Amino acid sequence: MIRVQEEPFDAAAELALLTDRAPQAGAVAAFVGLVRPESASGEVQQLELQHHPRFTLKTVEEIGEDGCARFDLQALTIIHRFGLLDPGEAIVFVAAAAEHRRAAFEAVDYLMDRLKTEAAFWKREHGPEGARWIEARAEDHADRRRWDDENTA
Amino acid sequence: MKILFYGRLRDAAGDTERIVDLPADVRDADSLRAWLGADNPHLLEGLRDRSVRMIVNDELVHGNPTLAQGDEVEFLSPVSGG
Repeated sequence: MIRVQEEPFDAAAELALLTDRAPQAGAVAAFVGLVRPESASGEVQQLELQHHPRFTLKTVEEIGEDGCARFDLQALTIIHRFGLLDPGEAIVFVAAAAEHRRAAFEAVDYLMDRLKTEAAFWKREHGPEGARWIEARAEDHADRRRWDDENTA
Repeated sequence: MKILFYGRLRDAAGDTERIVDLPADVRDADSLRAWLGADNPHLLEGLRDRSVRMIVNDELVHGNPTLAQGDEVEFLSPVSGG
């Protein structure tokens, strides 16, 4: 289940819904991404995530489909917010259910690395001295490349 | 033609969207970029960045597609990621 929305989400409720959708699962892994109050550039008063009304969802759905194909998942939830978010607010939720834990852990890791580099959002940090555009970090790209190096079964 | 900008390109363009009448000699993506950036070198440079993607009538396009007056054209800055 994949959603791109402005409204906040309830991670605990979403986790319960996912678990209900995977009655055969032995493992459920989840990740929540948050707005940090400070970045490398300084204090963050608000994080602005711009999106495209249709294309952004397509990019997230495609990433989700790749995750389901690569890891043997019984259920998957990705929720990604857009809009103006305050420090401490949850931005993204990724959870995966699988028979065993390795697939669940790795799927969430993989999906976050894909989302951090490929999801169609345009981010600006708003701080005391104005707004600055955000790009994926070198670390994000390196993390993303890890998945290309692995031999696929 | 309706033109929309996403991301950092909005700063260079000075707006998020605009409606334009294409001159007769603007028929494809290359000539559209040149025309949009004619008085705005910052925008021209931005539009010609190879990591900027184009959507025409809700489909991602590549290369130098032919364009028509009634098309909706969107320029997507390189993404920040999620």
